[in-house]
This record gives sequence, C-alpha cells and structure tokens, in this order.
Amino acid sequence: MSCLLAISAAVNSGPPTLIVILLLTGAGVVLWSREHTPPDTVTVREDVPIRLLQWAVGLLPSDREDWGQAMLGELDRIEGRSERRRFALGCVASIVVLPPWGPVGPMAALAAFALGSAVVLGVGFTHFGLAANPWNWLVMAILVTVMIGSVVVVSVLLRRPGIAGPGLIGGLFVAVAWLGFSEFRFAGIVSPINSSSDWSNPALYIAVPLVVGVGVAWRSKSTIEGQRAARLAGASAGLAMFFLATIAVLGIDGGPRDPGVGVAGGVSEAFAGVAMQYLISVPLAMATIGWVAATATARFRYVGVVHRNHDSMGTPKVPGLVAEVSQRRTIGLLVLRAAGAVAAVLAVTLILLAR
Amino acid sequence: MSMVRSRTPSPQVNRVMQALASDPARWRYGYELGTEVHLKSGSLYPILVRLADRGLLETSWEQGPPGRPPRHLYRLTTTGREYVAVLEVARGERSVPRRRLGLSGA
Repeated sequence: MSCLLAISAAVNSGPPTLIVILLLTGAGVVLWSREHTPPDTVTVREDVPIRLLQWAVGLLPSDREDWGQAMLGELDRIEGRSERRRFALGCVASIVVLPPWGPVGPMAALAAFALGSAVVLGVGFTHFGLAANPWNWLVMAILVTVMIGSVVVVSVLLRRPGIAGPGLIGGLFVAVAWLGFSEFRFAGIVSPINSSSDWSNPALYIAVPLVVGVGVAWRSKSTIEGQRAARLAGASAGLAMFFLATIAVLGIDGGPRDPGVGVAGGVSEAFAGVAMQYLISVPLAMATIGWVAATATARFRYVGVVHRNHDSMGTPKVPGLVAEVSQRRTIGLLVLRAAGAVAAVLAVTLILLAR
Repeated sequence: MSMVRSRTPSPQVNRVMQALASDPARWRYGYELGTEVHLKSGSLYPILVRLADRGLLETSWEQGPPGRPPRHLYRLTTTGREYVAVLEVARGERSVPRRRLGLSGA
C-alpha cells in the first residue's frame, strides 16, 4: 500500500521523478538478483580494472574485438592493484583512439555539439559572473566531465556500422520531437525540467529505445548490438538536447526562479538542471530501457545467440569469449527479471494515471 | 612490402620493433614487451595494432589454464624483419654525417 502511495506521489510530482523510480526499481532488482544467483563456474578474476576493461572492450568494433581479448588476457596475469589499474586505464585509452574512426558527418556533428555546448557554457559562466561562486566551478567541472564522457561513448559507438544508423536516427528523432513538444520556445525547453504534467517527453524516452533496441536486436540477432544502439540513441539525443538547452538557458536568463534568487543563481541552477536531465537522466533512462528491450528480444527470438565470436586474425576461437557468452546469459536472465519489475511498476503507474 | 608505408616510424615504434627483432623467433607477451621498451599499454597496443595491420607483426594465442583467458603473443613477420633491417641501414647512413660533424654522443 505504501508502495502504491509512493508511486502515486511520484506521478503527481511529474515525469522526471517517475523515471528515477523506474531506474531505481530496475537497478534494485538486478542487484538483488545478483546477490541471489549462484556464482559462475568461470574463475576469471573480478576487480575494478577488469570490469572497466571489459566494459571498454565491449565498445570495440567487431574487427578489433580480438585485441580487446588480448588486453584482458594480459590484465589477468598482472599482479598488484596499482599496476593493474594503470594497465587497464592505458588499454581503455588505446581503445578510444584505435582506428577505424566513425563516419565523418556524424563525428563532425558530435564535435560541433560538444564544442558548441562548451562555448555556450563558457559564455554563460563569464557573462553572468558565475565564477564568483566556488560551487559553480564544481558544477561546471562535473558537467564538463560528464559531457566529455558522453562524447567518448558516442564517438566509440559510432564506429560500429550496424548500430550507428539506427542509434543516430533514434537519437535525432528524440531530439527533434522534444523540440516540437517544446514548441520551439526557450521557455518550453527549460520549463519541463522542474515540474511538468506533460507525459509526451517520458513516452518518447521509453518508446524510442524500445523500438531501437528491439529492432536492432531482432535484425542482428545480438543482444549487445541492440543494447549499444539504444545507448547510442540515448547519448546522442542527450548531447543534442543539452546543447540546445544550454542556449535556451542563456536565452531566458535561466528562466523562472524562486524569490530571492538572483539571475546568476537562476542560470547556475538551470545549467545544473539541464545537465542532470539531458546528459544523465535521459541517456540513462533510454539506455536502460533499450538494454531490457534488446535482451528480451534476443532471449525470446534467438535463444542462446548472444554474442558473435569474431576473430579477424584467423586464430582459433577464443575460450574467453565462450566464457563471456555464458556470463552474458546469466546477466540476460537478471535483466529479464528487472524488466518484469519495471513493467509491473509501469502497469501500476498507467492504472493510476487512468483513474 | 606494399603494405609498408615509407614514412619514418616514431621512436616508440622503433623501440618496439627493435625489441621484437632482437630475438625474432621468440613470441612475446604484450605486457612483457611494454615493460621491456618502457611503453604503457595506452601507447603499446595502438602500435601493435598498426604493425599487425601493416603485415609487420604476426600474432598467436596461448591457451591459459582452464577458466583463465588466453594470452596474445607477438613476433615480427618476415616483412617486419626486413623492414627493421632497412631501417637500421637508413639509420646508419644518417649517422655518418653526424659523426663527421662531431654530433654523435661521446
């Protein structure tokens, strides 16, 4: 009963709160399931460097995956926490710069969005005198770090021809539809951040990654490809929307603010708000929903087909990849449980909305 | 040799190739090679990838114990060895005028 009341309160307080609840529910179920799942028979060492490198290797294009496995194989034999950390960080950096690079047009657009956002933020920072408050420096540092992280993720994902198209189209669709919902007004762009009863945007963030995740996973017969496409859609949409939202913040001097808050404070709060919304919440929500959709699609449609064991060098198939498939199947089951929980929360929410 | 570009390789690439050429028949691990030539993984792997793409480096896998990932091994191809030999000749020719001018290290 208390759960229903909490959901009802979330619905009344606006879509962003509900998105956070959905994300937390999904994450909670995944964590709970992990705790209650028997350990895998594979005894590969598990620590922060190996997890970081496994994540980065997942970003490599298919014709470079064997190099990722080579890095993982070396890391497995390295002793000493700091040495392992250094090696893993170096490998992650090399994965980011490894050729081939993505298509020129989208890469240029990505650079333009990132550079444009940085310029707008810089202009706002100096024009409104935000430098006087140390808190603003912290906010700006976090914001720039997250933005650079998003740019790196998108630039790496763009190198994969199978997902670059659907991911970018999905991201672009979200950004354009979002502009349409805001009626192309600065106030319309900034105002949904704080409170809104408009459900069009959250529906967009749910529907698009669902379509992208299911579509790519269905066509490629790969969970990973579907998940990556949805991640690309979320991150590219977030970057585009963040760029436009920073302009909107400057255009209306931060927008409506509480009594007693000056223009500088309003602009600073609005910058933090749009960053939270478009650089973190939207990409995270879209990636999570796409992740669940792609996993469920591959699970039901292509049982056991999870990952292509690609080897471009003509070497025998690598046992490490087979172990990875086994591990990913376990994760797939966990994701399905999370999907069930999220679907239940959504169903309850929709019932409450209908009343 | 057609895959090999004529551009002079960087000092880091030179170090990697020299280390591999010092015992060309031996397979090397990536971490061991990086330690030997004082290159971090962030610099070493892009070099190895480029060398392999250009046909100068051959690779192989060494199966590990059960439950452990395999390791990647590297050594120069015949083309790679020839390339190192050409580089050494070119370096020797360049060092002659330096010696005449007294520019080489004492």
